[in-house]
Amino acid sequence: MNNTIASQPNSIWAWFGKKFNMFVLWFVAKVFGLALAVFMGLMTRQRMSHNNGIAAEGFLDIVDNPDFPAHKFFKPGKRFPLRIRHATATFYDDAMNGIRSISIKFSHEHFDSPFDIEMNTGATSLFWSAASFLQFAKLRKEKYGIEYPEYYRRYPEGLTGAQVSLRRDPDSFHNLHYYCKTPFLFIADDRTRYYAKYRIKPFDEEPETGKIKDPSQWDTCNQRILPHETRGRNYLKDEYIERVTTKGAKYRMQIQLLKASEGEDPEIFNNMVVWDDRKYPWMDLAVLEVNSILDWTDSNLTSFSLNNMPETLGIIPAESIHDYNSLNYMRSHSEIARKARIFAYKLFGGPKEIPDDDNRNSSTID
Amino acid sequence: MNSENENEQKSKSLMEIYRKCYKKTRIDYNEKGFFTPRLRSINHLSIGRSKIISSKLTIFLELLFRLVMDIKYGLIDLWKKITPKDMQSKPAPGKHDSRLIGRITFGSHEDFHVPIHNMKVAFWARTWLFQWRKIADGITNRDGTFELPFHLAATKRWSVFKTVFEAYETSYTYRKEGHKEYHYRLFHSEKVPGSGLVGMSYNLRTIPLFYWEYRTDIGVPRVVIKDHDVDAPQYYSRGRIEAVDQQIIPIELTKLKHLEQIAHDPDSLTIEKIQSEYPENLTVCMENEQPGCTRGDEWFGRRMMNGMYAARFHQDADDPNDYWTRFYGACEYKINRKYAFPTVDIRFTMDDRGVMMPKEIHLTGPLTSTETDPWKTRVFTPEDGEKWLQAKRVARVTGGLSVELDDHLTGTHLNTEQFSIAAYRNLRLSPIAALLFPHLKEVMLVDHTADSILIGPADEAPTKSMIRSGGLIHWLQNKLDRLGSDIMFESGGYIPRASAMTHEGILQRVRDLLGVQDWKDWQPMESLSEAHTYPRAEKAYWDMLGDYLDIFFDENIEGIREHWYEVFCFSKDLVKHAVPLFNSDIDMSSLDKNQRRLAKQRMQWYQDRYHLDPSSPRDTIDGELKVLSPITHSEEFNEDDLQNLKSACQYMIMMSTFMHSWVNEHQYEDIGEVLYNCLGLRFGDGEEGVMAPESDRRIAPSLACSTQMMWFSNLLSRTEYGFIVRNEEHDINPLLVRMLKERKDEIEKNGMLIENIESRTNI
Repeated sequence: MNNTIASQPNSIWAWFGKKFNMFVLWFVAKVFGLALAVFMGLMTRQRMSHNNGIAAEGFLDIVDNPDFPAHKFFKPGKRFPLRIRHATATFYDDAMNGIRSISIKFSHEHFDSPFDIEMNTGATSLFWSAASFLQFAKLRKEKYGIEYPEYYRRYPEGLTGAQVSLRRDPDSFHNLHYYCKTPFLFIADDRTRYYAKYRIKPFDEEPETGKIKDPSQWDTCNQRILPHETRGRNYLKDEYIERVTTKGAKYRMQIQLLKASEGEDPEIFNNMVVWDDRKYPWMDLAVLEVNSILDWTDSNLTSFSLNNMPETLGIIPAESIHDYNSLNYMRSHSEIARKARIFAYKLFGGPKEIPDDDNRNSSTID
Repeated sequence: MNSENENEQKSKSLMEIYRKCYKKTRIDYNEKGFFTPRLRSINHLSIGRSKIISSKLTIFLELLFRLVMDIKYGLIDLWKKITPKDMQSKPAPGKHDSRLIGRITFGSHEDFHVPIHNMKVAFWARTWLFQWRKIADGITNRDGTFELPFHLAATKRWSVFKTVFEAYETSYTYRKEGHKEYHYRLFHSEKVPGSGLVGMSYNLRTIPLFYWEYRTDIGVPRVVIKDHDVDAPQYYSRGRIEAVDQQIIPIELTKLKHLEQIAHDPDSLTIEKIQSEYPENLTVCMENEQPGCTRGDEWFGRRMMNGMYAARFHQDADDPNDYWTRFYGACEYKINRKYAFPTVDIRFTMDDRGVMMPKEIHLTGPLTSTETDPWKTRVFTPEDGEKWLQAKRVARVTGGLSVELDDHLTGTHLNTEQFSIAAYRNLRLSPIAALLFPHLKEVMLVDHTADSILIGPADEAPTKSMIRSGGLIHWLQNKLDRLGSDIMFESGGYIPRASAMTHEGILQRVRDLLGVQDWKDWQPMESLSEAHTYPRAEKAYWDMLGDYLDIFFDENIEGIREHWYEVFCFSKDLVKHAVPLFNSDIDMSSLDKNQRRLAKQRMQWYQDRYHLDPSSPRDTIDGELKVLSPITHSEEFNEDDLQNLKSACQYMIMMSTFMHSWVNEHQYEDIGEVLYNCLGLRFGDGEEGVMAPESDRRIAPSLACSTQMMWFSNLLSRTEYGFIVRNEEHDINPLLVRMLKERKDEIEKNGMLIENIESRTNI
């Protein structure tokens, strides 16, 4: 079901089939985007998932002596303005067991940027294609901080992805490792085609906290705070504010490249499959230095898009909803949802800040 | 010299009469007419009115129903031909980018987490034109898990409208040239939603199957059968049902006629009349030829040696020419106080022809309704004249019931069932499955029927509701009957009505007797003389089986080795669910002197009778010392246990084929004449109790029990189907058939026609 660069339909029926599949992908992406726009953006003024976040600014410097092939966008030593946003997925409570994220914008603007990238904790994901993402969305069935029980039962790889991605009570957003998981294009200056994955680590290699040591087969769906939790709903954001204002936050951005070839295995695009870092080593790409916190309003206004990428670094084309690259395709077609959310802010004002109250395990602010 | 000549003459004459009558009383099949009454299912038999369709209206409705069902099944068969599911087809081609995973376990509460290994599973796509396309197939692992890799695109084609996961039971038949063919019977099917297949793995999770579950209500290893006809682990083959159908109708009608007469005009019926209206059995025929010949000592001895009794003889400690045999009566089991059931010890002298001539009969237990002492023994000898005749009758009756319960019901039926359950639960790919299944199948079905009509409680309430009567047609049939008497609707067990044993007592007894059955160390009986033919037939067959298994194991050693894990699981289930070794769960110190003596005496007797070695290493599970020796404790193949497996297989096949056939074949000869032998003599109200002549009707079975007994004898002996040499279902290894035919003369000259040796215990 997954495309290869060299795949060519070898009959009229195969051609029709391919076109039909692409139409279905396009249609699903559009409908999904529209649904997000209406039900999340307009009606609740929310992003699809990562609403509980904090934004900050600083600068990003491409490394001076890169080990990766030359690319005009990633010129050695080049400095970019930087805006990042850390978030906890789904719930408005930092003390819950949740997936944490960092979104990076090579700009100080709310949206416009030459390069955006979004990453989450864990080297693998919970879904791997548009079709599996739709199942993921359908089987969420969240109640009181417990979600995806049926999804994890049905899709063991999804469960494994959750177990490696969830972080419980990390000390800070800063010491977590974030991965983009899905590959992107990397067409070097010499026109050699590569596929790239990115990750973010703390610059000083401090150990990552919050990983689940003995994940449960049955209880992964339970993301509730611990019974005697003392941390508040905003503890991670508060820590980050403290960190950035006192000493700043410094990260290392790395890139992993895999050379494209004829007849390549579609599994290389599968974000559930980690590329062997002995064959495809991680290489330093940039250093990120964050030195000022943005307020809640700016954090909400700051949006990211996979369409904010140079063409030679953009998303890989997808051919169907089962294609591993269809995830990024759907993300790139959800622009309407962002616009709807921003429009709703203008009409109704932005969402209020998360209070440090006793409304725990909540997927809403109040 | 003269008396010797006389004896020889008498014996010749007796044997000539026997041979003549034996040939005469063989079985015939009836023609079927349009309005011939029909039996729809073996489980519809009853000691009252079996669910037989007999009035013209109900026959017409039944035929209409049958026509509709035949059309339905014909359409289903046609549909299957048009939309075949080719189990041998290759899975859809393409890169295996997805997997269907899951785990199959047993479903009953007791063994919910016990995995089902080596079960054939398959993943199918059904097209809009109703064709089946195999997407993937495989078998479950040892832990019950399965992983079926498949090409996702094969499930997303436009032509596919649904996808289905199925699990199968494996069985085998043999083609003429001896090659084994696999057959798969669908056991479980579930739809897999197409929208759920999105690549990577799709987990069907744990699939519990209610597959050959053990009953937990009964204390002996039995299988759960929820509904004999629609929800059982197995079903009778069509041929099996037809065999009963063809033979039973006239016998059923005879019984019904008698029951009607008993209800309305009992004085118009006598035991003799009842007897005469059933097909003539061996003893009736012989009595017609020479009155009194079957009541004599020689016939008594010969039947003990070579009849249904196949008695075990112990040499007397003091007189080497004398032998003893024993049949245990009521012992300590729950009995009613209507029938006598003393323990019988018989002393024989072997004469110069090698025939065991009875010399003494010891009866221990009450013989009248007023006696209560279960330890009182009375001895009778030929010098006692009429009393001797009566004592022989009591001995025949006790022996008959004892053999039916201990050797027939327990030693073959229930014994085979415990092996059957463990085999079907665990053997699938191993060659041992193909070896054993033909001999272990269907036994649980007939045992299930026996639970109600043979050993069920005597006071089971008659049933008249439409649903419990078997549906509209049967209900209508009942309504159309001229008689609504309760006797016509009796549906309890026969033995608790017609003998001293109650239903509870039978359950206790079978549990005890299963506690002396073990495959290890079993050997055929020794023949004591030329006239002692039964053991020679037994040994010839046993030796033939040994040779057959030697060849089979040699030819299949690789498969046996590869799938040894199945044998390990088979052994584990067998032992886990076996009953405790006899006496091992009794606290001897709580018994009184007599009880202790009886318990020890019984153990001693059974050790010898069933070749049981109580000191053999056995497993203790949950505090119970299990009677069945383990075949292996090793999950991996080891040579040491191979002989165990061979011995166990030899034993299983022996019990389910020869041993059952022997007792079943011969029971009509020995329990086919009411006054000769009837499984139970009533105490009556005479002073002498059961020590009374055959003419005393106070001790003979009641008229109803008499006709029911005859019905049973005919049912069990005349409706057989499934013989080794006939191999009706082509599942018997041709090698076994050939080797049995090679031993034809040896077995037949010792009293068993090889054509009558059943391949399994199904009646």
